[in-house]
Amino acid sequence: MLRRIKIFFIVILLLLVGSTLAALWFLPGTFSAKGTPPEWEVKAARFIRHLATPSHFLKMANPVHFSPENLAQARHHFADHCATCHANDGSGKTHMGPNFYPPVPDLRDPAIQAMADGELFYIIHYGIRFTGMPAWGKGLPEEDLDSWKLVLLIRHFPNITPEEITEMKQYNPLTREEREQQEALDQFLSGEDVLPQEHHH
Amino acid sequence: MKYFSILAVLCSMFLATPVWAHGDASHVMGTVTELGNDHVVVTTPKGESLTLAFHPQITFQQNGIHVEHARPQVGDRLVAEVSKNGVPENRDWVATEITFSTPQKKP
Repeated sequence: MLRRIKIFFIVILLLLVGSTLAALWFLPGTFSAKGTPPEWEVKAARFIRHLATPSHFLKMANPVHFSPENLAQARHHFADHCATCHANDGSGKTHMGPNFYPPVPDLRDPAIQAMADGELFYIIHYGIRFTGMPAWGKGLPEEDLDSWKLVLLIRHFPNITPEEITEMKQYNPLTREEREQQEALDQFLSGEDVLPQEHHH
Repeated sequence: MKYFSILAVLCSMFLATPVWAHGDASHVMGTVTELGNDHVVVTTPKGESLTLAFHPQITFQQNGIHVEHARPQVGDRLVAEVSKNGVPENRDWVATEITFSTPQKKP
């Protein structure tokens, strides 16, 4: 009997030593944010996140109705708080967006658009751990109408217009110099004669 | 005071990192005169002709909206974010992002 207990503890000890060595072998570099996650990892992470969303949120309907006023408020809010990472058009194509792990998703993507309103709201309100997505919600979820308005905007992204993008640019957090440069570039693109300015990042 | 100075230097190093990160990128703006599969030729407002090679991860924006398949056409105006890193032979810049639009004709 004593011999069996000894063997049991030796096996446990070997397993612990083995798993520690394996961890030391595999871990270095695994917390780097460089690179793009493989497709299986994206699918697995989204599936687990879906499972981690409380079921009553998945069934929630958006309490904010679709109106030009609510959509305008959401655009201003998004341009000020979210566009630095997500881009005004929701594409995630910003200086920082592709450098996160996982990269900032394209909110126009069918996989995102297929998510329930309540699941989108849950992500905005509570954030996503181990990603760049912070928890924006203040107070109780049922009182967080700003996040519900952002859900409206996410639904609208596939049809967003150039005029709406132009309007959103006014609300992007930029320095005075960046705003002047942006306005000069926009004037040139709209067909006006603009002299080029020296600009480096 | 000594510890405060060390802390200030460390903080400034971390705060400065994002600025170092995209070192030599700058903007080129011009009107498209030629379009290829891997490059575009533009004439700048100063009349200079520049050939911009496409970076493998280049992104395109049409009228401020990111697009997957649309590309600038001859006569369109574009603003390109460009770099001198890895410029191929016979090219002036490598473009990492191109924003383009078709200017409305003046009446």
